[in-house]
Amino acid sequence: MMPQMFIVLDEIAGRLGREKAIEIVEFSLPYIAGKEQQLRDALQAGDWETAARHAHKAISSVRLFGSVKLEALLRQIKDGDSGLDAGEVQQALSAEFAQVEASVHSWLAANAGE
Amino acid sequence: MLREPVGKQLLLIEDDEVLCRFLQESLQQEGYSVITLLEGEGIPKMMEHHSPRLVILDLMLPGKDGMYWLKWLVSYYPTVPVIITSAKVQPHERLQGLECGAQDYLVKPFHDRELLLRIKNLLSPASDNSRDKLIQMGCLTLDKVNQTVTTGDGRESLLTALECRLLQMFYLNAGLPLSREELIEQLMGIPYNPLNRSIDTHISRIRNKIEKNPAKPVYIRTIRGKGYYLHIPDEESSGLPASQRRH
Repeated sequence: MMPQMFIVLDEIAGRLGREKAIEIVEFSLPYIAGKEQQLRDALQAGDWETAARHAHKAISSVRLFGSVKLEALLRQIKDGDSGLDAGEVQQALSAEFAQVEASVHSWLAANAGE
Repeated sequence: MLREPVGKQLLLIEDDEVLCRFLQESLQQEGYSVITLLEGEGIPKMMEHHSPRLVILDLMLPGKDGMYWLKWLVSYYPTVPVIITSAKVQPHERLQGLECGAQDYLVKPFHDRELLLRIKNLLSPASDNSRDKLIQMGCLTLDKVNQTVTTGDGRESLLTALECRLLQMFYLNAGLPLSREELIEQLMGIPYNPLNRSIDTHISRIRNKIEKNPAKPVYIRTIRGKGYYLHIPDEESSGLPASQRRH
């Protein structure tokens, strides 16, 4: 996942300029954490409707980071795929969000110092 | 007062802060000036103050949803194209947006370059809907794009954006009384306050521009205690000399 995310973030930097891209990525970090928290709370409460709404809103911004896996996971929650286990989904989500955050931090570390 | 150039001004309404910021930067990079809102309630004020050329509207907004604001925009700014952005992918959901007057519909997530192309297409001269820019009200001709009104005897006056919309609102409701409350809430997007008489001032200014004798208005008439209504006289009773009437 990491190379794919780097490609997407580099492409954004290519178009907006490195400084602007860094600014947006830094701005988005607390937002990613907030989205994860909202989804986790809804899933823990077994509230699939709220989880679906949060997933629906998160999909577009997650696309910015090029995380195909996280996007697919959010889409499953949004569409309320039957047979989803809240515990499993939560685990998978946490893992993907952690990956995205790690990739974003790595990209920032690689770019901010340039 | 000079107005800022509005040729490349866009209004973006998107409650996802990250996406909103990203799209704003991306569009600004292409030379557009982008005003952003995180919810729809500020739309009337922004439309009034900035006169954007195009609106990009998210459907799922806090408070009144995007569909409400789409209908509002189509009613009061029919010449301003609206692009809907939404994660709603069902064909009937897309159709609903287009049927309500949106010029385009982008399913989220989308690539910002795609949005840019759609904006370019809609703002290109080929898609200029200038044929629909004129409204005829008896002997008055309202030009919605250039914001002018011309009387039957050829007197042309510049209108403010609010005056132009006020006339459109009267036209859409010709013959029907409109209360000050309705006018203020719909046009200015602020709650009605009985002490706020600004709407009377705007109407008085419009009368000076369209009426032969503003003290005895023919077009915008007052209904005591209720508000105003638009009367569209036939050309004979509008006071035009016979030589200037159209046959």
